[in-house]
Amino acid sequence: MKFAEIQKKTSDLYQDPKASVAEYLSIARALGDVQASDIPPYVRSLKAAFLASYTIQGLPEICIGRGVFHNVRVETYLAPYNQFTQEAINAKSGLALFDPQIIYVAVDVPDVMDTNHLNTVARGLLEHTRAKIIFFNFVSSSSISGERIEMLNTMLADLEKKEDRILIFDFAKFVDRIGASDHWYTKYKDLGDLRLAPHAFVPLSEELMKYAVARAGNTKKCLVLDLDNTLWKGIIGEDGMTGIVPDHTIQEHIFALYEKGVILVVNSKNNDADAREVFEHHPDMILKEHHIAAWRANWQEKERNIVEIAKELDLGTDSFVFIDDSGFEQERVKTTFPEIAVLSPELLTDFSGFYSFKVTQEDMRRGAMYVEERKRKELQVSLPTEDEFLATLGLSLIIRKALESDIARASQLTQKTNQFNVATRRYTEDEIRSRAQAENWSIWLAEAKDRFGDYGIIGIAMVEYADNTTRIDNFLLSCRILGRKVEEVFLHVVLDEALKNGASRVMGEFIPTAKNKLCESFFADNTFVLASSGEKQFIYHWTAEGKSYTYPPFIQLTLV
Amino acid sequence: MKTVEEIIAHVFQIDRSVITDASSPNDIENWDSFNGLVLVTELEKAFNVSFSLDEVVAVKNVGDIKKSLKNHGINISGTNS
Repeated sequence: MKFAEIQKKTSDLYQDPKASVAEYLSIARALGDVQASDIPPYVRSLKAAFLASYTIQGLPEICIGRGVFHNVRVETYLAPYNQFTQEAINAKSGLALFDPQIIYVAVDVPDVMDTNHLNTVARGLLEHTRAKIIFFNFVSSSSISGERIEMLNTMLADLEKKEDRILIFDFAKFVDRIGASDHWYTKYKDLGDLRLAPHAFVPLSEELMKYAVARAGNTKKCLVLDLDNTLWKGIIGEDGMTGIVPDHTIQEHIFALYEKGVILVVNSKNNDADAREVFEHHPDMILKEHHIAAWRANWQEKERNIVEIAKELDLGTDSFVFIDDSGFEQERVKTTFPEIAVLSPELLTDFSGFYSFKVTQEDMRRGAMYVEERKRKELQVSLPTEDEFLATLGLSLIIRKALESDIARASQLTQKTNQFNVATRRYTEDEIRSRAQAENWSIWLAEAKDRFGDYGIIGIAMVEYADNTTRIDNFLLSCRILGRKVEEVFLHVVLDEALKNGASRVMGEFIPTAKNKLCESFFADNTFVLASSGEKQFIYHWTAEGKSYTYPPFIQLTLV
Repeated sequence: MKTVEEIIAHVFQIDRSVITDASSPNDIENWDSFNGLVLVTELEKAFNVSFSLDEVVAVKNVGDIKKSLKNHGINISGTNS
């Protein structure tokens, strides 16, 4: 079998809660025949030894199979049955010669004489190997005095505290979790001293893998998250904000990973705005947008998003974990990236790949650091200079005098426009028409379009000429065109035309309303000078002397 | 659902066709004590039964396994197809 096939098989087995011991045994056998050259470089090797006072045959083989899923090639040594003491204290024992990087010590209470015995074993292992030593703690049972168990467990705790290389695996908690009555001291104990039933080996192997992963230096760094039916029950695009229910169990777990330094990224088939809405406004979300280091809520293939995310974060995909409720997406990601650990959401809490021996301050900050980096990059990418941005819009502006056919629209604009409307004078069609026909009035219209479409008539300037002062009677713009300097271009066209008409001064009025604060500094911003101010009216004057205006190059201006 | 023969073949890594009711540890090389116990867990899982200690110890060949399953109300006559 090719290594890639074995990878695929272990990945499939991982998803299957009913995966049997026999399946894993056959994987371990198949792996024995794989050529070293067939194994990808991101798969790290690890030598793991097992030392037990009861039968754990099969467990090392299952760890070999599980290792493949975690990108670790585990080589194992199983010490002879109940010879843990000899193996530990003999400098030339099979264990010592194997030179393991990690040793699992599974010793049961009846096989330990006293704390001194336990200490001797620990000293022997420390002296004769350079391995991380993982002691299973002692499981209580009705037939053994609680005092004795407590004494032994205290001894282990003491060793763990004193020795960097010694760690305790909470085996008692594990047995309790999977159910002591079905797994600990069952009929298998009588059949072959399998005090732990063989069907407990698969979940146990996942617990043990965390030490292997950490020792091999293959701890996962990045968790790629699906959203619908993963972080919450329901589909945001269909069920809406009130229809979805954030899953607190998984989110709390993911948040704990984030605090340990795991980088969180979103990879979801969704409308970007819908997905962000949940993170920003759903009251039951534990995870927030600021926990996410890379964000892909779109409709392109998830594999493509993964490639982009890896590039963006500068991480190898072999450090990725992908969770998704969809078997289809799991399958695609598994096939494209055999190095990625692919999980159903419900398997995440028991997944061992994120384990590291010591969580440093840097680890704890890592998730946040990547988020900050994203924000910084987003600013760089999304904020070119304003003019550069506007140039990309391809905005063109036509300014012309109102024709009879424009009267209805012009009147409507004076009636409806509230925000960018300096004087807010409302005119009927007849009033507009009579002024448009008058010699001493100009009704200017602005029409705009850009690469996104044609906006039609978006502004009106009504100008009255009297002697040498031109009065801007009405000046307004539709809000959807603001922020592109259209208003100032429009104003300066009006001013230029006034000068051509022989005006030496132009007067503008700002008449405050409840809604037009947006344009209160419009005249002042465009070199008008405040001439008089009252409660209901601000009068500005503009003169041509010394004033120059450069039309922005990004607006293509046509004057008709 | 896997048949008894399929499970046995898988655990002992042998071809299904060589398995008969008389097959025993004497003629199946991989049928050692450990793989024998793996077989017990696989059968218990596949047929959702739990064998007693005595039942496991009493098994001498494939025919005995089938008898045990029958005693647990498992109809295996159709599983051989």
